[in-house]
Amino acid sequence: MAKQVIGIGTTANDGTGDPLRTAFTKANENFTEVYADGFTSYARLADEFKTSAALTTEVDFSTAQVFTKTLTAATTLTFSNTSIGMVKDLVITGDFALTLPAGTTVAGVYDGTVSNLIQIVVTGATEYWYSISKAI
Amino acid sequence: MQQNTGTQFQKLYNMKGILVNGEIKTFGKIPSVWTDENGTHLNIKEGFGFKDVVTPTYDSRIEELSAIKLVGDVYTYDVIDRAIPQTLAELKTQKISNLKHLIGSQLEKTDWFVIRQMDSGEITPQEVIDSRAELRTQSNTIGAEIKALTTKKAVLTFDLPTFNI
Repeated sequence: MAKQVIGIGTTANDGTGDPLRTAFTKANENFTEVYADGFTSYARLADEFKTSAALTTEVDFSTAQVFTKTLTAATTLTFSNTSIGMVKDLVITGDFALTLPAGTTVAGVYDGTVSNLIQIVVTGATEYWYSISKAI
Repeated sequence: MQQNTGTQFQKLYNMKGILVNGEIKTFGKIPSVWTDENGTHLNIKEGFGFKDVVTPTYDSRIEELSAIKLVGDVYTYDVIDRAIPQTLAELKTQKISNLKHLIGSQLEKTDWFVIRQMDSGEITPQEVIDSRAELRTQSNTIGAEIKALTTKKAVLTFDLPTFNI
């Protein structure tokens, strides 16, 4: 169901808005849909959960889910807008040194000859767990 | 036994060292992941505080390496004399014992010729008799050389020859 907008007229008491019952019926039907199981879909997620963005050097966790970059020189990445529980993905290629904020653990090895997926899990204010997998 | 020179060692293993909290840590190669105060570094091949480790050539029989230290732009060691607790006489006795064991093991290979002659009367080939005599001669000669040595280092670095019969 498409969102039902309650007609409120052009100005107060101009008589062009929805009748009170009609307005609350629309409100109820809107809430019924929102509270129903399965309402949340992937399409309704914010961009930070479902988009990909090219990186410069700042990984802004509030802007995309997947960040891509081809290294052309030794590069240091910084993180911003992180929150505990966030999980982000970096797809990095290029045979250069890559420096990330100090991680709590690092699983896997970066391979400069292929594309690498570096998954970041934020476990604390400045605690990051890194998992690196690489393309075959 | 051939010693592994420092140059060979570095070439083979590309050892690296780095100063961490005042202590020099060494690695067979630059680690694939390195974390320091500046972050977690991936895919590093040089730099980030890592320097070559050069192991000098030394004779482990009489020498050893000092603690690792920074000299110029590499980590390396001083070669220092190894402490030798045994006396000169003890070292000579041990060396001569090794010599006798070596000669004995060579003689054992042809003992059966002699035993066979004693049991059955079959004559031991002359070349076997000659080679056994040569071994005894060498044993006496080398034993005298060892006894004539005057320093501990000379005894420890005295190489016993390889015998072939």
